[in-house]
Amino acid sequence: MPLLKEPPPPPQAPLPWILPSLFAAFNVMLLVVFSGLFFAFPCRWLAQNGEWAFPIITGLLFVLTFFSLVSLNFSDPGILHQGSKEQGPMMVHVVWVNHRAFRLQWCQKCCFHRPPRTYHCPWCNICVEDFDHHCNWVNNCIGHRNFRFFMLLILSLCLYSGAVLVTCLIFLLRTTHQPFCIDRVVAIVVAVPAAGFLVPLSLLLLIQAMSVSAAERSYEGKCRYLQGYNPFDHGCASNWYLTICAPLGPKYMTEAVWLQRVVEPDWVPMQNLHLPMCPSSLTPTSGSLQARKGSPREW
Amino acid sequence: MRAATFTYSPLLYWINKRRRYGMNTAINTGPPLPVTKTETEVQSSDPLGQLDSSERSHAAQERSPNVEAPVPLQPALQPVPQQPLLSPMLRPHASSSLPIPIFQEVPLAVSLCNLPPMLNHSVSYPLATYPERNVHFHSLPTLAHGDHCFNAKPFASEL
Repeated sequence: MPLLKEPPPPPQAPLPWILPSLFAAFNVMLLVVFSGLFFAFPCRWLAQNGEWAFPIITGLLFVLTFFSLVSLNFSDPGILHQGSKEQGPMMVHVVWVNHRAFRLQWCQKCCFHRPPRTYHCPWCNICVEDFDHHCNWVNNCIGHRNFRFFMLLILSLCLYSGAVLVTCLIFLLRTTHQPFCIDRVVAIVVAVPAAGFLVPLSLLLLIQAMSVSAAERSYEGKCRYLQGYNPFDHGCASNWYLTICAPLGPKYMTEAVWLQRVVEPDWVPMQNLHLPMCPSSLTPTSGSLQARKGSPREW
Repeated sequence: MRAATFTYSPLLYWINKRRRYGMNTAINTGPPLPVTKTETEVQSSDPLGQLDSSERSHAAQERSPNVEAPVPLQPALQPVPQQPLLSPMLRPHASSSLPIPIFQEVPLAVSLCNLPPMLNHSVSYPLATYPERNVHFHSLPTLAHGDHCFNAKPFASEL
């Protein structure tokens, strides 16, 4: 069989952005509309009958859910790009993380070597630091900088759905003696999707909590490339701290220059780090790529 | 004008942030490939300008198109095999007391589509040097079919 030269593949057309954006906006509107129905009918009836705990609790949860949803829509997932100096795809970059080396892959779209756990999202066409997944519900990537918003959204949605469901059930139980009215219809209309969302959201929250405890990412779960040893795993408590509470630091390309200053004497030398020894025990040598020990500006 | 003074590097940004988080991170950069460049060329082509070319690593691994995989190079975690699968010239550094099984990846593998056209025999001729005369040679498939006088030109014409 002759080996024929295949024509180069046609350039991929950019994915249409209007449909995912409309879907994300539709989700926000869905939350607002169902919440409006809930607060206007069953919750109003409970408040008029002296049950102020239900509107207060559900109201606070709605504010939290709406805030996290909108924040996740517009948040920066941790975009990384080439920087000020061009790199070559032929360069070999190896990054050591806790005694495990990562051969960095070259991103053909962004034209730089991606750090570990940084992936190029084909939907957003960006490289995201600590990429977890692309969320179609909010039309945004979930990465290093907005993962805590994502966890907050899941948690608040679970609590809010549960609170709405419980409130609607209590309302239906207390109005059983009343004739069938619009309040009961709306309560059923709101309770059904709340119950439908509660189960998968609880499952998702459980899965994400396990991932955070093990310092894993959803994208890596499909690949199993860690081979039984996760260099990013610092223990359950530290993993939760680093994911939820640790300062994110300045955004790349905004104040990132403070993290990339010229080598100073107090920097920890990074030379010879490809050798199997402790980096802190090495002696400084000029010309090596070094990471800074301290930052002049607190995060 | 900080932007003009400092270098924006995603790798430095990533490593410094991880060191803030208490991770033991470091970067090592190898030469631009192919490795036939001289030392000066290697240093001048360094994208970050702060890399020690003498410490460059040839670490590589089986390449995955989408996901980078960690290379277990730490002998404390994974013992060094007695017979590494790489040639001695690909060792990272002569002064290294512990040999590290770092593999050299083919810098730019020629795509099979770009190879010169070949016949479906073990013997092939590039089209530019293909002789005009008929070449008579035997191969096991043709011998098995009893065709002792095989003409390669029709196959070449398909290319």
